[in-house]
Amino acid sequence: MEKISQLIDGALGEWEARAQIARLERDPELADCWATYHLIGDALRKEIELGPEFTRKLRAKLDLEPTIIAPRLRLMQLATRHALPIAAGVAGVTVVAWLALSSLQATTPAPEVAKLDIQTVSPRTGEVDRSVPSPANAGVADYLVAHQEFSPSTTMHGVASYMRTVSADESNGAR
Amino acid sequence: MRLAPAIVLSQLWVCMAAAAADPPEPTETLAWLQKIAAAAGQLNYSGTFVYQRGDQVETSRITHMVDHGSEYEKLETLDGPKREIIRTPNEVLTYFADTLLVKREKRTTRKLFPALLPEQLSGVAEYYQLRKGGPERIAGYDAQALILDPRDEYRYGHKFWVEDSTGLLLKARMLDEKNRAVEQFAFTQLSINGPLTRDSVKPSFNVPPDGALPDPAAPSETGWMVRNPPPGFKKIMEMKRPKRDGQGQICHLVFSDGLAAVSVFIEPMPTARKGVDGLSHQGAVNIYTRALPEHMVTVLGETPAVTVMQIANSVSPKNNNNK
Repeated sequence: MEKISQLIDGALGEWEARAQIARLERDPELADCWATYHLIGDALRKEIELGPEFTRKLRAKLDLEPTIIAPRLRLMQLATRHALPIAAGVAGVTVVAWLALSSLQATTPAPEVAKLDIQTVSPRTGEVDRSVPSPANAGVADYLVAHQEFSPSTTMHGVASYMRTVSADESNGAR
Repeated sequence: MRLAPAIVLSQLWVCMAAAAADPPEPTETLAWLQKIAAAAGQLNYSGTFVYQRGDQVETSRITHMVDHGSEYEKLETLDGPKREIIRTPNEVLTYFADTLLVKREKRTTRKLFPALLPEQLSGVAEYYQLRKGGPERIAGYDAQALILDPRDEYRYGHKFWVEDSTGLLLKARMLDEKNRAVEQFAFTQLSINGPLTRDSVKPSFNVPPDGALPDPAAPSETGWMVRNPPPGFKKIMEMKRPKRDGQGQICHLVFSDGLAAVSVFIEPMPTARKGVDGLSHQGAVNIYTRALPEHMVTVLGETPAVTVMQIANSVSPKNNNNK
């Protein structure tokens, strides 16, 4: 694979480049890799617009893929254990992957993003409790919950980050 | 582009295995961050953790379970009045035992990419200095420490301790400009990939029937903007949400530099206006409220006060361009 990256970077000599191109024609896996690198490059240079349709299909495919952690971890460990020579074009490939995905998201402003609303309900009667305090403090408490959904800390901590919304604050009782 | 989308991702991993040898430290730190985000959404775990801010320490129990690709989470406080949070793909329920109230927050967030929002991550290296710390031991697990120092005064520093093999975040500390802990999460006891059932993430209180919740508003243009956000804070979300009392709507914009987020809420000026204009905080979250002629702006986020204030002070209607 690193040869492909060198080929894209123009870092191969003529004969080696010819040999690689011949291999590309025969080997579909290499050809995919070649296409992927170019896609990443295009996305980084913002030369292509990946429209909502593309994102929708990608999401659909992602949904179909089983959630597997172990192989990824193995790949990462493998990658760090066996240091391979790398071409400049691929050096930041982990970051590149995010950047490429980022342009997917950037071109679909707020895809099917969160819609959410907040209500206070009595657990006993199930009735919406309209008497619950008023705007200032109750409002801030609602805002904290609404905010937490979009905080990267929630992505990293999961629900633990919601401690911020329920933590009994002795100093200003903002709850 | 004839490339099938799914192949893009699978090939990326293959290419990465072949190519991402011994990346430079910032890249490796970013890779760890992504690993944390993936692990947080994919692992089953349960344990006890402490949440500390200032001189207050609270202990809680947390359970996280993945069932058919969906996450179910339960957080129960062990100190003080019992509070419990249940987070499912559809809603977040917060229960306060002392007031016997349940808050229901509907979620219709679709499955995002199994990572930190990538757009955000790309900015992390620009606004934080990333480095690896040494190996440490947390809650009985071997952990890798990661240090992210802010490059300016608009964000806090972070230190993360990540479980070596799974990538689960074991401990996290947010630091102010004097290197004092603003807040800290740390597991004290943890079981990863232990047996869990859906019962372990069920609420222990009565969940009220859904009732007549107002229709959630679609994500949309709000007509508001932040003219001068601090460097690195990009808008990641914009939506209108119904007010609790059904009277009008609240505009919600979210800005993030990849690690911290700031929310802007704009609502019609309440008739009984009080406490407008001022800085307060809920733990590590700074809150700044400001009055516009006909609106009230509330800005909050896990950032230094200067960041929420600057954002609040540059909120303006979009159609104000030629002013």
